[in-house]
Amino acid sequence: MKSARKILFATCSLAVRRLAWLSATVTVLGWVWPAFPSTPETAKDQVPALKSIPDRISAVREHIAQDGEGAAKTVFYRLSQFFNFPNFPNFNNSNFNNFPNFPNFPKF
Amino acid sequence: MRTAVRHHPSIEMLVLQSTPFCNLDCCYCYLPDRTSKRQMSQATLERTFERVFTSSFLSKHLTVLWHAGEPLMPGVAYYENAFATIDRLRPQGLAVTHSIQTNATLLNLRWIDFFRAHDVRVGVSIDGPADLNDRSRKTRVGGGSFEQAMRGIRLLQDNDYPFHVITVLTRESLSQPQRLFHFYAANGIGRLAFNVEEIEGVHTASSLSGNDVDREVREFYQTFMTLIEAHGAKIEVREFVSAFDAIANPSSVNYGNPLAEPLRTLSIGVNGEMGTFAPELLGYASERHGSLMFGNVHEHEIADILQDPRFIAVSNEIVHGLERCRASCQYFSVCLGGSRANKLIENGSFDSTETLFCRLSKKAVVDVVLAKMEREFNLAS
Repeated sequence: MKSARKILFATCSLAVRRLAWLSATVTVLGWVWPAFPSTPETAKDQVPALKSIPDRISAVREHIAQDGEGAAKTVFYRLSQFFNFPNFPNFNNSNFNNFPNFPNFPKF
Repeated sequence: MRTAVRHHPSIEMLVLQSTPFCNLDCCYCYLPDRTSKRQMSQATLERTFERVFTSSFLSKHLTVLWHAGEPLMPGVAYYENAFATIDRLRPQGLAVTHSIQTNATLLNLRWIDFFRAHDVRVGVSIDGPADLNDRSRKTRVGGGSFEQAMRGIRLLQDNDYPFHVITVLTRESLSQPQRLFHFYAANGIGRLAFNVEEIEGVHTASSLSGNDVDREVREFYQTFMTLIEAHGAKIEVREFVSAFDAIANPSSVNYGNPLAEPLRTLSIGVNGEMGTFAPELLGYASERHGSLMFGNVHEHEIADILQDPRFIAVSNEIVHGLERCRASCQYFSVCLGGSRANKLIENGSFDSTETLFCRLSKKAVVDVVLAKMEREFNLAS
């Protein structure tokens, strides 16, 4: 009988504690995010937008600029080696200073 | 004077059609006259270089690309005469580099000696292992061309003559990046370019049309790149290198787009017809503009192209199309408007925007290369 009371008390106190945590969470959420999405359209607006291609390119270029100097440019150096960029066959064509340039690399 | 040209143009690449004939009959070929055995006469050749070398559109270097047919068909003696003529007419201080894009089936030691003597850059067209290659690259009697092309490649390799390979990607090859990779690796092919099977000229339908193809092409490039990395293979892929440059190097945009700017690529057909923007337009006529040849070297100076009313109409349309690309496409800063010929042939107009070539050869490549660079820099996309 005594142990049944103990179990009942433990269950009730656990339920009260959980309820308290739940209310606290809802209250905090209410401060942080006062307007819950009320329509599917609003909910959709909350999905973070994907970065655009120009933004992504800018971010990569920023990191290349910050990637140290000379031999310390480790990530860019590794990428350059991977693509074997400086050794491409048309590179010594003085007309094509940036050759191979992406828009222009002849496809023939 | 009415002209659409804004800046003083400079001829960078001269595409010469020594013959429209090809000993192969590839199912995706865009050339309308590839059964014609005509050859560019020495008189036409001489007139071409007189026109080009005395024009005001030269810089310090000119690349001459022998293309738009199988260039080895006329034989070594033809080119010995041609190169001697070019050298005789060449102004002092102008460097001329010759390039040849060949199916390699006619290569022999005499050709290799000739290439070496003139430092000719050689590109070989082959589409991978025998079954993939022979599906599209057929002989005139319908057989496969793989064995003959590989004999040519072996000859180049045995004689230490450098070359690169152009492979046309078809629907069939898209699902087999591993087989293609192992083919190049096993055969010592280290410089590589992928051309997607385009809708061009008389080739009016591509196996790459369809809904899922963009995803499949991305997966192909991604898998191929992963294989290069996993095997530590020294395989340079033109598309990857070019996209890497365009993304990494902000000044690459200054180079502009030679396929959109008049005269930067000048094409001369077998009879001396003059064209610009893209050699694929040689012999092509559009409903809107008629023939896209803007004169003939036997009758016109190079500068006359810029005054041709059809050229002016085409050029204005190209500029408009470029502006539409700039306004509507996220990839513009790394693409600069793509290829004119594809816009006209796929969409019927130079002032259109997206093409199959854009989607599969530009956007898909940028997506894969950009994602690789972001991963290396720990940037979440």
